[in-house]
Amino acid sequence: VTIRSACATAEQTEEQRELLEAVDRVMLTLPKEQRTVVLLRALEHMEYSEIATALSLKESTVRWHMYEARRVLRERLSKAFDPGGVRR
Amino acid sequence: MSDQVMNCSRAEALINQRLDGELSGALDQTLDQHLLSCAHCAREMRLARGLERLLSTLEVPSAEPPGKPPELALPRWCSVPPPSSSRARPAAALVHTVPLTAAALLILAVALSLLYATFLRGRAPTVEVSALDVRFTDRAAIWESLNEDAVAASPSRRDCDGARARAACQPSDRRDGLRTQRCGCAA
Repeated sequence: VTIRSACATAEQTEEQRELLEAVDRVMLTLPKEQRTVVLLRALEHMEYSEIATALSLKESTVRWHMYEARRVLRERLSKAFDPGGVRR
Repeated sequence: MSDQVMNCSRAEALINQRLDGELSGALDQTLDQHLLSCAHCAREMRLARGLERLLSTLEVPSAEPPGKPPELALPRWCSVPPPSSSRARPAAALVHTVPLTAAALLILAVALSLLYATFLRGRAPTVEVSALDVRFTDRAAIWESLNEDAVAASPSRRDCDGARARAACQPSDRRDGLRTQRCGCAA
């Protein structure tokens, strides 16, 4: 599946583009399982049970992967942006 | 659940549930109360919201737009590596297919030649042996008939003493069966 970022649309700002680039960089550091779960959850909008079936994992394991991925993304992206709109 | 028993670890789990849209009722209010009193968790909540919004801006295209601008770079982490199957790369597939086909044909040719050689080497000696057998049989039969004719025509035998045979043996002596037990000659 080839995924295109909405950052590509013309109305998006340079700031958003930089944030997505930061997400891009951090996502590359995640373990493959966590990256896959984030991909299926955030981009494909799949339920945890569906992801578990697709990956042959327990639903609790899928939830843990998503939990850990969010935690790592928050930790590493907090240095790159502030969700309140104030850039660091 | 009261705010006293709510710690930051529990709040983080509830934040994830809220992000998944699975938090409601009393737990939702409990989390809000904790966020009001905990700056760390409140910041985590803001970061999590911002991250979810950021991830939600990513999309999966249903089809490749015809006039895709070059600056529309794909996120590296969600890109799929280019297909490496032989169907996608026919030239590369030929590189692997042609030698295999040639090897298979070579093996087939060798096998056929071996079978052919075995067929020739297996049947030809049989034919020759059979022919030799036939010839030998014929020759033996001819020999036998010739010997019989020779014996009938002459009383001489190899284990007979030539001189004695010539002196003693007579065709009539052999034919009567009385003196021809071994060689047709008189003892």
